[in-house]
Amino acid sequence: MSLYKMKIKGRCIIETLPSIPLMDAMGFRMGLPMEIQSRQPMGGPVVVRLGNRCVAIAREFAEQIMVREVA
Amino acid sequence: MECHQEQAFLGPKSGDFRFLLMGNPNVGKSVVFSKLTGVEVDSANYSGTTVSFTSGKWQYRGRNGDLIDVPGTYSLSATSPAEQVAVDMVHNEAVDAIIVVLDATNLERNLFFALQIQHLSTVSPDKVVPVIYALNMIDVAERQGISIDVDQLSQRLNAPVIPTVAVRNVGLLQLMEAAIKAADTFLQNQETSIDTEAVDSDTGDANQWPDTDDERWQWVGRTIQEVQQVEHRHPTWLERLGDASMKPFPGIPLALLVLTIALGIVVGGGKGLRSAILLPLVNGVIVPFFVRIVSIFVTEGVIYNVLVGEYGILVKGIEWPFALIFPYVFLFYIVLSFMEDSGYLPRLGVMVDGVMRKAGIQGGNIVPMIMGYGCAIPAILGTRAATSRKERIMVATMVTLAVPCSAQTGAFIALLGDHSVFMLIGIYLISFAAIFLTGVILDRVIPGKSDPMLLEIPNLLMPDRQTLVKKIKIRTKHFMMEAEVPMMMGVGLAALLVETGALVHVGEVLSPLVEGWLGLPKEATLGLILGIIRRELAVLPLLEMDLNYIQMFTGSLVALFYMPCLAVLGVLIKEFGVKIGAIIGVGTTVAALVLGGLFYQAATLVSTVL
Repeated sequence: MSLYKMKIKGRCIIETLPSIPLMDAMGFRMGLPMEIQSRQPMGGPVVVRLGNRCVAIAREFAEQIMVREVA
Repeated sequence: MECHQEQAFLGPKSGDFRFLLMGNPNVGKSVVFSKLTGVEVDSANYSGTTVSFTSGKWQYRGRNGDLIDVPGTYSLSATSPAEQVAVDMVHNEAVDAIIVVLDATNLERNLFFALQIQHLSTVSPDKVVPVIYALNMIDVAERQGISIDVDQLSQRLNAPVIPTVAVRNVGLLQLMEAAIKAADTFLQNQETSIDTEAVDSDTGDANQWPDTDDERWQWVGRTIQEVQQVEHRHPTWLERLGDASMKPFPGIPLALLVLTIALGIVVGGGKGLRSAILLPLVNGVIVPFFVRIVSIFVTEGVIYNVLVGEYGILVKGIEWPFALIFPYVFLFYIVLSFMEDSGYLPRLGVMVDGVMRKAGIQGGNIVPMIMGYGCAIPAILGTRAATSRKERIMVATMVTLAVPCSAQTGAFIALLGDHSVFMLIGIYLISFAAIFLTGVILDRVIPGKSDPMLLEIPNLLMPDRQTLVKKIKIRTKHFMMEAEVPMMMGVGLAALLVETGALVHVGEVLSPLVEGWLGLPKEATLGLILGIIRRELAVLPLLEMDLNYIQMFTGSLVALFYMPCLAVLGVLIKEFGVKIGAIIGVGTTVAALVLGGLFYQAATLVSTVL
């Protein structure tokens, strides 16, 4: 499923992601575990926690990131 | 980040060491730079504060040299004009050592960048220079339960690693010592023509560094496992607040509360400071003092009036900047600096992204926009952190057109706030609507696309008091120094125009526009002339005229959208070229006159009918 559809507090692992230079540079890669922190209203971004840091990802990008939910 | 802080790059004197300071965004490079060189550069708790390089001199135990601070970059593949500056610098500038600042709270991502720097030596042999690491924010990491084996990390990186807390000067002397030692050894090796093997022993064996991203992440993963231990701790109240502020609830009510408090401090506090202390001091003590002095030496006439008359340089040239503008500038910078250093601004960006996307730009642009409420210049320069030119032009135009700077805010409060708070609110609501509409229009008109949000949220921190006080002091001083000279010139010009009767002639020529279309008295022409010099000068002359509410609002509307001041126009041209600068300048002026006139005509019609 897409990252945007993940439930809040859900944990997932990236399976595929679009080729976006800034996303690569920020360390997004296949197999990276994440936890969903929040989803903003009005089509706003999803905030995810990657280890010790939080990143806000626009809906347009989040819909292109395919993830696998993990327990 | 302001323009005056960008310095022309001068090569080092013979014998000096030149060090390059690099790292990911928001790891504290600019703080390290300021502490080591004494050169004050803007720093804040979010990425993209530094958008150009700055060079400064360091001195340590009789040694000296240059230190170059470059914008933070996630990798050596630049994704914005600001990152490009850093990447160009590492590829093109000859330096004696590179100091890489690592964020101890985010070691994984930072090590990826460190590996890219190390790898550079394998692809560019001329770039084989020592690398020294500053493991910064080690105190925050410890509070979060993160402990790092510094010696082991140093072994893995084959380079010195110095733990630092830059804001508190911890570890910085050791960092300089390590950098000088590494550069000295490297220089000796070169001078004595030691073979490559010896050079490698100082800079790392080139072949040991992975050269693909996958291999780098694997190396980083192994290193993290070896050197880092994370102990689970209950989150502090600041961490809980930081997390809560990123959720729609309570994040949105919290954002409204923060903005209301900020507005209350700037507007309410500014009014109090102005009427209780500054106006009585300026008009009761300082100005009468100058009037008495001038009266002794100058007899009444044109010169007397230019000095201490209605628009006297020693009357309005003191009252306007110090009593009407200073309190708002000062309080605005207190609020802005606190929000910047706490790391709250990116959180605000996340909250408003949904709305801002409708206006064609992503929420992260709230940072340059809020800076624009202080001054448009750092806001326009701050757009360099944006990833597309379209986004940069859009934000710069929005700020130039409809974001009043803090000096203009002071002028609006003096003109409107003292008569009706609703008029003041009205001007700001129109400003927000104009920002939104400008975005919607420009998004359709300017080709290309503006990138969606991809923003790292920094830790929410309690700002360091010393750093905060210094920052507010420097910003306020800089603003007042920058503002005072043009304002004095503007007031002097106003006095000359009034005293020589030239204003009457210009007023007659512009009468169809000023009186006929805008419904303002002829003397209001003065605001249109002076507004070219500084934005608040488009408003302040209106204070001296007996205007009704409709005229006051019309004058304020014209001033809000009026052309950017000369300094802003200069920055627009420098950043985007003459064509874009001219389009923005002419566009804002036309918008000001058309919208101001439309409002006046409509309001007059309504009041006549009623």
